[in-house]
Amino acid sequence: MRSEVEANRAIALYADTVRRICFMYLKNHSDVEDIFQDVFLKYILYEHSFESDAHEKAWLIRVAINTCKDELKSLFRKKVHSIEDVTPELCCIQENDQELLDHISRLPPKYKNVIYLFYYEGYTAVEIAKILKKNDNTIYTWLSRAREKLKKELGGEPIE
Amino acid sequence: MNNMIHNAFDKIHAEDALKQKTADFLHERIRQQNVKRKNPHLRIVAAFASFALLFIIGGISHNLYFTPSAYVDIDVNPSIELVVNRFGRVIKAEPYNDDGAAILEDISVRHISYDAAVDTLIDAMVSNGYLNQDGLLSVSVQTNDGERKSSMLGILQSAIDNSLQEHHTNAATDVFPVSEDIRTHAHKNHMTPAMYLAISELQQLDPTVNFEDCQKHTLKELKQMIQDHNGQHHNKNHNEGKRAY
Repeated sequence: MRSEVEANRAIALYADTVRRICFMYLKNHSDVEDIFQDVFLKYILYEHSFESDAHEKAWLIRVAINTCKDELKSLFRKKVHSIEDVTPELCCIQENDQELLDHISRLPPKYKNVIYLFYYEGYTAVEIAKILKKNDNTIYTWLSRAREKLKKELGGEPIE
Repeated sequence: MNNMIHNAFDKIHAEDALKQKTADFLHERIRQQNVKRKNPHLRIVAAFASFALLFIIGGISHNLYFTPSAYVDIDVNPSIELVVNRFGRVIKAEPYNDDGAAILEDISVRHISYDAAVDTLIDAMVSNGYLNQDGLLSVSVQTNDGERKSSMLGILQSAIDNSLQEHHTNAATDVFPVSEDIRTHAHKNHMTPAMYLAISELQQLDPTVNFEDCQKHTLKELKQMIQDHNGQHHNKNHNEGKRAY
């Protein structure tokens, strides 16, 4: 098990990343709290060392996505909620940002994952393929379809 | 649009309360784990100590249970010795002749009380025709605890009387205490104290008899031989009352 110092460091470095992934999947505050803690618990229990900070971050992203997916397997949580249900602190997001995030969170998991990783985290399709353990071409396809879907949702505004 | 997505996600941050709560949760888990890790030797030592204690208690109990404390020798012919522990349980049943071995082949009297064992043996002896109406049942008790000796004699006499009554048998009974010395000498000659005493008594009356020849006779026959000698030389009747050797 990792030390308290390592736990604090991981929270300081990756809390926002994990929270954003939770945001895309979960809108109930108690679910977010459970998953957030669960992801970092898995981190301190993971006894292998990471090759680099980038490797560590990619590991946490994959764990966060998988943990959220597992949570959603529950029948009660399969319905995607509106981001209006979200926690008070996130309600301060501007209306246009809120609408965009709402559309992204409504996308199927595979599409919202690639949108987040590509447009926010700045990973390439090849890097995303490694993180999600998928074929490169699969990621290209998902990215393309995710863009199309989001464009349609946003009333035809192109996404580059 | 690229920037819009980036800017929108950039507005999402982990709440301070969430981070603090998670840090507290993780710290607690780490502390719990550290406590467990700090005392692995203590746990192993405790486990070994418990095991050792159980082993010692088990050993002492085993030793107490299987230490002979009294000996009950039964002679009808068959001849059998019961080794009794301090709890009054039979820990060993030893035959002194073939008939005794035959009886013990069919029944087990181990781990039951000595009076119940005697009752069981009387049942078997009556059933197998060894003890009949004109038979003689001799039972000797040897223990170094004087108080216990008296108690055992009373319990055995009562158990024998009840058992014979149940079988409607009027066989003569002789329940008596013997010393450790007598029992040791009897065992050296591979016989019960009753047989040993009878042969010794006979030898005093007739020095020509020897143990080997006398062992072929039943106790009742030996008693008769003693009675005959007494009648010839002293004109005394044999007394089958309680005696102590």
